[in-house]
Amino acid sequence: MIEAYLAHLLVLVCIYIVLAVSLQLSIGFTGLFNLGHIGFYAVGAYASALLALSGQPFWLCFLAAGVFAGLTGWLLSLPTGKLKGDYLALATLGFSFLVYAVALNWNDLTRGALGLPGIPKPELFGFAFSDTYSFLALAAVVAIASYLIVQRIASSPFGRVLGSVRDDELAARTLGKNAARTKSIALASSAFLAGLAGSLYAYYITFIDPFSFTLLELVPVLAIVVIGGLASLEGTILAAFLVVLLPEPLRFIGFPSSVIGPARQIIFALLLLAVLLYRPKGIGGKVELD
Amino acid sequence: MLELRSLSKRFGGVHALANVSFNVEKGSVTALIGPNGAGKTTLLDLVSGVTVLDSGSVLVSGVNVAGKRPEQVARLGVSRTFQSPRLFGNLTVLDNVLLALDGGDESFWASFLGRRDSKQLLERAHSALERVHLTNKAHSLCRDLSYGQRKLLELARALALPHTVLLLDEPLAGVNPVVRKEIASVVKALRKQGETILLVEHDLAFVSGVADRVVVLEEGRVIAEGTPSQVKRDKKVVEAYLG
Repeated sequence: MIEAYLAHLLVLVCIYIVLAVSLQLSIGFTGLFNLGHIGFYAVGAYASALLALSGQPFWLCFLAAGVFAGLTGWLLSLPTGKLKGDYLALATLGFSFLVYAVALNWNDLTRGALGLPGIPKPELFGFAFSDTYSFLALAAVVAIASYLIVQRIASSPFGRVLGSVRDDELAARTLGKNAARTKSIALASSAFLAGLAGSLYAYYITFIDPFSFTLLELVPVLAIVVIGGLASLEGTILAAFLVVLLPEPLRFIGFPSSVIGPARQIIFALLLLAVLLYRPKGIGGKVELD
Repeated sequence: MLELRSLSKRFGGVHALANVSFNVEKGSVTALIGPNGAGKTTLLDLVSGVTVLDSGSVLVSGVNVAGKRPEQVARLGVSRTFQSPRLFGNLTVLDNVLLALDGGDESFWASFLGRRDSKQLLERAHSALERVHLTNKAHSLCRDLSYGQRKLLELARALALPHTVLLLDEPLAGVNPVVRKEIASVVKALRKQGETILLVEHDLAFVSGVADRVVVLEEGRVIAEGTPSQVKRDKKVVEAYLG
């Protein structure tokens, strides 16, 4: 029993690693203050769930989740390309509300507040990931792959261009770099990975509704990025474990579940405060943004 | 090489530049001088596409770059520095130069599929740093450099970008005498190598020593143009600039 519970927590850690590592690609490596990540996560989850419910195989639904979210990210980057800092944060925040509103109100497609139940368990090459342990293996593979993908992009010559756009967009442009295109690619790939996380979540819980994708869900992801440190992937992974696992002991102290939710938020807030006060760059933060 | 034809730019009611025309010949150094607010930096911004001009044309090797975006102007052969250096603070000194040298780094898929810096590219980057004596700082972060080192690095970066025209905005401003000497000697060496340079500078002694031609701006207009000694004798220049 306790093993299954631990495995469940680790699945959540993996999903949060995918979300946070991909958010690092836009915030930490490209300097795009993107608060629309939950929107991409939702697009991926819905794309994957709808396709799965229509009988499509797991691999297709999973990849489609990434592609749909990635396309959404690319589209979002076009009108927001000239926005910087806080303005981009507001615009992307607006985008996540938009996705939430669409999920809630497009009843014909998403069934609105009723949500989409009965998402089948994933199957790959005839193997069904039907229990928590096998799903954990799947989620771990996706988390490690996401880490490797972001790591590869960040350490490549293209990653250097991302860094130049983050540090001084105008200077990058006077060196001939097409900053708008670079930012579009960064946001699209970041959204692609968030979409994969959404697919994992939908398959894991087997039920999604719009309330799984509210702004509240962004809090732990953003906390992981801040605690892990901008542009630090190792720090991000460590922080994902911290943020997911630290509030868990509350369950065993015997608090009623009505207290556990708010208590979790308080723990996030305290963690964030502690980091900002004593280690403003987070666990392994490498960059300073203006 | 660089031809400016009736450039005009207004900011609100202010004529930052009014009908400015002059040429920078291939292999020559032209200095742009004038009191503060005369429009010198605005002119460099217009040429490099950083600011969009209202009217006029800018020909680089015969191609009109007016109205093009900064990245397009850069690819057409215009390289520049800024009055206060604009480096990529979280990147290393070497990375800053590599960004200028590497024209193929914007391909996402090539990078993703394993493209790395070639040995030749790294060698060129190191020799670019050698020129400004920053080789031992290659792996330091730019944000840890002193102001003078930043100026030197930005100059090295501008030189590393393939270009036909070099725009330098006050290369000597704000640095200590030692770095000042170093930057001055690099610029003088560039002149000997036949670089085509348009430079903004207040230091008249330096300008007289390095410039083939001097253009004097005042309140957005060209009030004098000629060799350094001609300009120095010009009455209008003496009134407007030297006081």
